Amino acid sequence: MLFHSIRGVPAIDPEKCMGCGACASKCPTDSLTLHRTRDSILLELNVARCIRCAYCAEACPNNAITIEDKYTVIGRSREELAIRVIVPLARCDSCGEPLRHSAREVELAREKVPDLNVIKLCDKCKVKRVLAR
Amino acid sequence: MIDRLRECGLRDFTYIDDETVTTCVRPEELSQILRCLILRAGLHFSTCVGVDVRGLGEQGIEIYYIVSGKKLRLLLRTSVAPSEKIEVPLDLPCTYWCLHEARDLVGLNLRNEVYTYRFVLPDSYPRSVCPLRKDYQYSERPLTKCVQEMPTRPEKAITLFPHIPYFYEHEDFIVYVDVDKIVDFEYRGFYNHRGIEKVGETRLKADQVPFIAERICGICGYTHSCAYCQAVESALRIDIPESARLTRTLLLEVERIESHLLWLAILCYMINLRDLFLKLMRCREHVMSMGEILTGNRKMYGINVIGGVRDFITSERIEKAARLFSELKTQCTKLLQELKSSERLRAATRGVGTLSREDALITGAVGPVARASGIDYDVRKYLPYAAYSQVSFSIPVYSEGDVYSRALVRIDETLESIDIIDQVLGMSRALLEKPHRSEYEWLPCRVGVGMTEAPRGEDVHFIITGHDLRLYRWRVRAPTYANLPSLWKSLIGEKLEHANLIIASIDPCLACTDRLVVVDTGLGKVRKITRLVEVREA
Repeated sequence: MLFHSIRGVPAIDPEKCMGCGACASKCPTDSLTLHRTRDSILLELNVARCIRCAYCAEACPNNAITIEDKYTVIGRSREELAIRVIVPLARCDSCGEPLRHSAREVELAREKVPDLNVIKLCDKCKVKRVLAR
Repeated sequence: MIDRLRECGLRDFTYIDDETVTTCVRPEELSQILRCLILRAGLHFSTCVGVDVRGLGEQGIEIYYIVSGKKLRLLLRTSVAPSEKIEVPLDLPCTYWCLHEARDLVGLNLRNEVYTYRFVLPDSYPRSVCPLRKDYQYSERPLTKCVQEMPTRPEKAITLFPHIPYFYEHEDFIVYVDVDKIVDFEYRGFYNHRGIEKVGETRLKADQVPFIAERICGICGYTHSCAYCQAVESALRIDIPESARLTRTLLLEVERIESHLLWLAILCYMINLRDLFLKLMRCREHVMSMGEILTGNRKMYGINVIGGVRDFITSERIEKAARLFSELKTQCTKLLQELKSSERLRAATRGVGTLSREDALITGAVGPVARASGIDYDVRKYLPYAAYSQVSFSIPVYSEGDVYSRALVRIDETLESIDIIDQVLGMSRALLEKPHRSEYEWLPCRVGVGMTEAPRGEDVHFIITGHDLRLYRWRVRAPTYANLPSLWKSLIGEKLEHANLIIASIDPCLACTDRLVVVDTGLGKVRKITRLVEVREA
């Protein structure tokens, strides 16, 4: 007897996730972890560790995480059970170096505050621009 | 009540919340005061907690004694200097375990030790290591050496079987027999030091602890997370919304029915009532489904947060649960009446494992064990929490103190729980009212106690808050911990064939309670009982 109200595995929408890490800091079992590489953010969900508490879905500011109706999780190794989402980092407008924030975070910030072109500059270019003034 | 406390020599009370009073006591007066409180004033000794207070800018160790009575919870606070020794009151067995636990975990010095071996830690733990001290890192693993510290009794040729820490909570019940009469009893548990308290104090934040608290027990997990949340709510003085109170009451009672049905089913199995066993287990399955419909999980509801509950319960879930419950109610009531009138149950359990009222008082028995011995102590009535002050129910009390009356207490309680759930489901409008949780501000250095009446008895969580949403100290006292010392009184003098039934009658976690060593004092023969139901030659 299965009801549709049972909590299943969380699903991360790669289109919506912006790599802010709110879910990872809320997760009580460390099943959600955030790794930074040079030009992207990797969000990894270890389904084997997950206790289906749905704290991540509550914490997500962009509603990227939903609790699905999927209950059976099978895999030969822990790697097979992992769900990975790669979020690209925003790039500097002048030199093209990756920034600290993800592209989606910058987009969202732009939507909220329209006049924000300075934020898409890396630290070095910021200094350069200030000195040039 | 306060007057009775004054008679015992207590002064200067400070209120933590409406029901919790705290006062300071000198260590040398403690035994006398405890004797007065328990034996003369008739209060219930819940537990004591050792706290390493060096992180709070003080010296040595503090012990908090939690004593509870009607509408009053008393916290006795004692500061112990590093070299000072505490006396164990030998006439009060209820204090033995928690004092020895404080000795092992925070390094308290005891003057007259009852257990000379390491008590709540495995024998292989080094003597110098006290894992709950603040200078001990939670990621540290001590170098362990395989030694056996528990004294063997040479004249009786004891063989202890190898302990395999495979499940959590392994326990040994060692029974000394003279032909078939039990003459002595020993208990050794705590083989697996899991360090949940340390993890809660260091690794986790306070709002993540309800999840791990729920995983302390596999059967009554929700009551642990409730007790923890109540402890924090009392420390920070958070007032939780009406709907959260009702939700907690509803789920706690669902859990109680489920736990009692499991126990009754196993009792039926043990006394060879196999058909009732199957019927009760089938009935229990529907109760599990009810939790599933309401929260989304069969067990580990994951619904509690500090300050209330999460928004999982919707009107359609409640409708669905109410529909299932109306079917379940008639079925369950009929089954329980059938069990109650069963001649086999009466014949197999009447007069077995009698625990007198006095013995239950001094060993600190709680829950159905205490209520079967004529003590009407029930946290739901004595210190109402959640919405128990709004629903009407009665507390079944029997005075015989044998296994039969423990079974009757549990049957009656299940029927009462069904009634409570009916009342709460009737208040569905209040149950759905939003918000379900209230906001709070974290404050350091506050003390709080949360108590719930778990299916097995009173469950105590004690906390001291730390900085940055972390706990400074978290102490859990599960109900079985308080009930096990009563076995010394109820087992000795009984027949060996009843040992299983008596040990099972306090409802220890049966999955964990997997072996019992029997030593025949006359023949020096050792028999081993596994899974509490089969006896076989070793």
